[in-house]
Formats: sequence, C-alpha cells, structure tokens
Amino acid sequence: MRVLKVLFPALILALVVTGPVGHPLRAQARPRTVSATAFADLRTWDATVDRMKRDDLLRVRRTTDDAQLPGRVHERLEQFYQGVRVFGGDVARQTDHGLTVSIFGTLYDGVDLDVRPALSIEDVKAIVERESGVALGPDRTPELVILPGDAGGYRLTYRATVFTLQGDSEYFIDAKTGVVVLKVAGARRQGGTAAIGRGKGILGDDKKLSISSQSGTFVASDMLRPPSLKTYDARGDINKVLNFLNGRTTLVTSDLASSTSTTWGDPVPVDAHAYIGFVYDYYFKRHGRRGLDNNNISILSIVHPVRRNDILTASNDIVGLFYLNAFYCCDGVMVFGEGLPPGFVLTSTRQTVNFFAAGLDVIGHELTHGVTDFSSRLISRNEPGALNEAFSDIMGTSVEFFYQPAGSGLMQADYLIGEDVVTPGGIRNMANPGALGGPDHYSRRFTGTDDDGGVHINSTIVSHAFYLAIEGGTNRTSGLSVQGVGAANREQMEKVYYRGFTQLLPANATFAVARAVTIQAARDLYGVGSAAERAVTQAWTAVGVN
Amino acid sequence: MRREMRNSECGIQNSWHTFLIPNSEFFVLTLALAVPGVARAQTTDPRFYVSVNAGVQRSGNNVTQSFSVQKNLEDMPITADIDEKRGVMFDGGVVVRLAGRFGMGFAASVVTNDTDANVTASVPHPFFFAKPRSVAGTTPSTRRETAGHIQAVYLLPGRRLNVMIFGGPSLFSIRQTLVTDVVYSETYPYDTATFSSAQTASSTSKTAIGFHAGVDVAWMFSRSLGVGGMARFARAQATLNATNNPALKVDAGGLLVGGGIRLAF
Repeated sequence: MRVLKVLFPALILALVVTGPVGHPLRAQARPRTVSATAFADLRTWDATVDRMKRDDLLRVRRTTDDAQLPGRVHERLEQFYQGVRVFGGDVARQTDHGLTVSIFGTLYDGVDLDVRPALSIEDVKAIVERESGVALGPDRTPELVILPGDAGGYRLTYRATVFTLQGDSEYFIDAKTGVVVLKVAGARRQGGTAAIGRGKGILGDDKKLSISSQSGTFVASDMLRPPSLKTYDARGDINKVLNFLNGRTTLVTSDLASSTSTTWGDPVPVDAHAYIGFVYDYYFKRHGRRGLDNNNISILSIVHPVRRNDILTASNDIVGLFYLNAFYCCDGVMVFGEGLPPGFVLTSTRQTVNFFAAGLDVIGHELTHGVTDFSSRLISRNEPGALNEAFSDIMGTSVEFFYQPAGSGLMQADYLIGEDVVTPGGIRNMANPGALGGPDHYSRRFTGTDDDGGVHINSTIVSHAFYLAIEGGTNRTSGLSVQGVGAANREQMEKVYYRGFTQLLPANATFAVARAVTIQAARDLYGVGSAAERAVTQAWTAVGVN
Repeated sequence: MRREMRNSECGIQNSWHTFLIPNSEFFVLTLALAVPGVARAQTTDPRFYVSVNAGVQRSGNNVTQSFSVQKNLEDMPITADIDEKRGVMFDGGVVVRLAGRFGMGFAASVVTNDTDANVTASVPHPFFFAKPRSVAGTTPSTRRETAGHIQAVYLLPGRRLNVMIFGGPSLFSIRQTLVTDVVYSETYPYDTATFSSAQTASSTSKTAIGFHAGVDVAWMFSRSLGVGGMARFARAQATLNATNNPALKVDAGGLLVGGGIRLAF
C-alpha cells in the first residue's frame, strides 16, 4: 500500500501574521464583552445600545423575526466609527414584543483615528495581487474597516478576500501605508425543467436527485427547493475553479454536473447534490431557516476540482486543499475535495480518504459556515473561530441524526465528524475528543497560533459540551457528570445551540459568552429551570467553561 | 231467444263463467283474485305487447381499480372504488305472442349511474425513496349500461291483468368512467401532498353476453292500454380497458325494478 505524506486537513490552515498589529496606536483597543440577561444589566445596555444607534455608533445590519418563538425579534447591530465598520464589534439584541430579553456582543472603546484612507481601492487590489498572486475581479471590492489589534490599538485597514491554492484568505491592509497587517486563512473547511434523477452514492446507496432537464440533458440544478442549488463538475480543471473563486470567470450551464439520462453514473455529484439539499431541508424543517442567509441565497458547489489520478504530480497545497478537504468559500460556494485514490492512506493515521461528498456531516459542517457567515459572523480565529468550527460540527452531526439511523457504521449517525470519508474513525470525536487528539476541557485548550489559534483543535471543547448536554455522561478531565436531555430530546439541544449561535452570539464571542447565550437560549425556549437549561449549564461547567 | 254459452277458441268469453276455465289457467285466476275487481279473460288475446319502463337498478356491483403509475421514479399505487349499486333505468320492449302462451320478445335497457369514485394514492416523495405521501379524494364517475335482452316469454293473460314470465340471453355494453391518474398539489418541503383531482377516461367494454330472467305484470285499463311493473334480474361480466390500468373485469346488470306503460294489440 502506498503512503502519501500529507498534513492532517485541519492543520493545513495557518494564521499568518505578516505585520505588526496596533501600530501606530492612536488609542488602546479595549473590547467590552456584553452579556446581559438580568434585568438591571438589560436596562443599562438597552439604553447604551439605543444611544449608540442614535449617535451612529451602531448600525442595524439585520432585523429578523424569531422563527422559533413568535413575538421575538432579533436585531443585529454593527459598531461603526465615523462611518467605518469596526471589525468584530457587534451586538445581538433580542426583544419580546418590544421588551429586551438579552443582549450579547463585543464593543470596542476608545476608537480614535483618522478614517480617511491614503490608498485607493485600486492600490489595495494591486497590493493583494502582489501578496497573493491573485488578481481580484471587478466584483471583489475591498472593504474599509477599523481593525482592533490583539495587543491593543486600532488600525484603519482594507479587508479583502482572495482565493489561492492555500484556500481563501482575508487580507487586512493598512489603509495609510499599504502594509499587510493581518492575513487570516478564512476558508472554513473540513478539515430548465424540474426533474428527478437517481443514482448511487459514493457508498453505494440509492439516492434521488432534484435536477433539471435542459436541451435533452439532465443537469444538477435543483428546481424543487426554494433556492437555487447547483452542483458543478470542474472535471479536474483547477484553474477554472480558482478563477471562479476569485471572481475572474463564471461557471456556465455546461459546467454543471450532468447526465444523459435521469440515472446518474458518477456517484460524486450524486452525493454532493443530494446532501446539499438535505442540509437545506434540515435547516428549514428543524429551525425554520431558509438557507444560509435565511433568505434563500443560492448554493453552488463544485465537485472534481482536481483529478484523483493526478495526485502524484500535485503540490502539497493542492493535495491539502483539493484532495484532503472540503471547504465553504463564501457567498454560498462550496468545494468538495477529491480524496485519495484507492491504496493511498494518510501517513499519520493510516486512514483512507474518500470523496468528501460522501460525508453528510461534512456537508452539514461546511454549509453551517455559511449560516454563521450570515448570522453571528464569528471571526475565524482563536475562540470565536473555535466556536465557529464547533457550531459547524454540531450542526453537521445534527443533520446526520436527522436523516440517518443512529449507529456506528457507514451512513449511520454518530458523534464522529467525517467518519464516512476519513476511515476509520473520522477526524474529530465529539463524544470522546481525546480519542482523536482533541481537547475535552478548557484547561487542555490549544493556545498556540497554528490552526488559526486552534479553531479546529479547540472546537471539540464546545462540541463535547453539546454531546454531554444531549447524551449526558462524565467529562474525562473534570470528572463532572452531566444529566443530558437524552437522545430522544436531541431536538431541544439542536434548537438551543442553533438559537444561541445564530441569533444571540456576537462575532467576537468567547467560550464564556457561548455558554451564556446557550443558557439564555435554553431559557427562552424551554423555560428557566428546564431540563434543557440544566443540561446546557452542566455541560459547559463539565468542560471547564464558566 | 236462448242465448248459448260456450268457450271461445281463445279463452273464456264471459267473466261470469270463470268457474268454467280450464285447470291450466288456474294460476292466472289466482293472481286475478288477488286484486279487487279481478281481471277477467279477454275475448281475444293480443299478439303484440309493448312495454316502456322507468325504474332503478340495484346490484352488488362495485368497481375497484388498483393500478400504479410512475411518479418521481417510483410506482405510485392508486386505488379507486366506485359504488355502482344503484342506477336509474329506462327500458322498453316488445313481445310477440307466437303460439298459445308462448312468445318471443326483445327488450332494451339503459342504466345510468352518476356517482363519486373514492380515490386514494401514495405519492412518492421527490427527494427520498420509500417515503410516500397519502392523498385521497373523490372524482365524478358515470356508468352507462346498455343491454339488449332476447326473451323467451310465457304469457299469462287475464282480462285486466297480464303476466309475463321471461328469460334469455342478454347482451351488455358498459361505458364507465375510470380513473387513470391522480393530480396532486405539493409544496416544499413536500412531506405532504394534497389531492387535487383525478384524471379519468371513459372506457367502453366490448359486448358481453349474459343472461336475464324476470316477470312483468300489467294492469290493462282497456284492451290495449295499461300500466305495469317489471322486475328483471340480469347479469354479465364485461372487461374494461383504460390508460394505466390493467384489464378490469366488472359485473354488469342487477335487479331492475320499474314500471310504466303497457300497450297490447
């Protein structure tokens, strides 16, 4: 058996800080975490939020009616300073018939800087091209933002997203000097006529496909669900994929995965197309959500970005991203990795890697990044990033339980992530994170800079809490026991976490804030003192998040 | 002048001599006695009898369709139950007395039944195998049985009351509305579907041969005009064909009961 040396998917992501943050300092960055649920706190923060709205320091990004509780309204506000968005500064306020129920968020004090950029948009694009080797298309306009520094201070920057072989990256470029202040690997990865088609999935199961008929050919364009769900087959043309992701070209109908009959032969688009529909359906049926943005944004997925047989000549970057990963890029775009050819295994774990489209939880995970993008906008690094990844694992697993019978075999629902793709065992274990090297307790969290500050690694602390809140049990590190709501009531926890993470959580949330919002969500949905509230609370405590 | 009393060739001439009737006519007498103002034998029995009837048909007939059509890459089983137990009947016939009390006749009847077919279907889910949605509803259905009855008739004529007993082969043709498909409505996420209507087609059977037997009783106001009632049991089995359906064997006929005008001449 041949062994291919590759990095573990989750570890391919790297946070690269290419310049000093916080220089020049005009003020100290002082983030204030807002977590108000008690009456006295609410009264104070409610007034503060209203005052900041009047002063144009907070702007409403979105107001949505609560799909779970009639009468509740969720208002998301972003912090601005002299008309420029403060990156990561936002507030989520929940009201019940006009009365404020909760406020969570992060606000930055002491912002004081000149918001007039010295660089033009074209200057910034040129810098991005120089740094990344990618020329941005005309639709990719960098955004002027105020970036709070980790070490303090604020900087006026341009924020631009580009896509390279290393994945999509966010560049923060000093708007005065053109220095790249911060680069964040932004990709959230896994580590005609309506017609019905059928085909076997990658694991051999029969599936139906919602497709369409165009000029005698059947294409993977779903016309039965409210949004446009399209699956494209790149046929190994990685340049086309990159050009598309960077806005330099568009994908056309002839790029859609297709079949000459309603019976499809290639199992990869079969699984990809079917599972994306499943995930959309899960969010709609379970949470009343209409797609990633709750407004039926199109979802576009790409299969076969590379050819499996080309793996021996592919660079490590390409192998890491397009063979050993699936990723949500942005704006509803998702790419499925090709996996390893038969006979190849991962060096470190001896695991085989199938087509990533085979994993329902994988697709649930990736599309949940889209949900996060359109709701809490959790920042993809450090604790917010770990919350982002954890929420994706939680929802990916929930999708699996929604459709598949519980069990430990292929196409069975469990608390492993990616077990139908990376076999045996998957890539993360929510029930026993330590079995795959993940921390199960806050005291064991990764504090280095790899993996964008441990976003995948530390996610298991949060997802393990979710597991405990459902199944109950004892945390191996703390020894604390949790009385879960039980598998039969998993829907309660799914709704609690969904509510907390999409409607209450601010973008720069810490684990402690996540604890607070999920407890608040449990109270909202099931009442104070409910079994759900108790389970959530005990679970967070058991994993060391207080 | 002495008046002679004698039997006519054709029957009893005078009612007050009814006690002289031959034994073979005892049955007629019995029937006649059952009615006040009992019928008396006519002086000359008519050769032709015509009847026109309206009435109802009662039967145990039910049409049960069970078939499948393809929807969403799976079979969609459809059933339709049509109650044909009752129908409106129009009937006309003529009988020719050939010799003595024996005759031959022909009758034609049309039975129509407008009813609702009860339709059910299991509609396959567009996204999943083996997760059908049940729908049910009704659709109008019309059945028209046209029958010709060739009759061997035994006549029991009386002065007022004529009785005919008849039987023989029947030829049936059935035109029946059959369900051929189900139209349903559904909206995302398609976990339920609603019956909208059923597609139907009229199927006409080939001529089916059966039998019939019955009795006709007429009360004659005069020698040539009267009213009467008729009961006929007829039965045949016909085959209907319709789109999407397998050949469907259905029972035709039943007990027809009606009344109407009687003519004799």
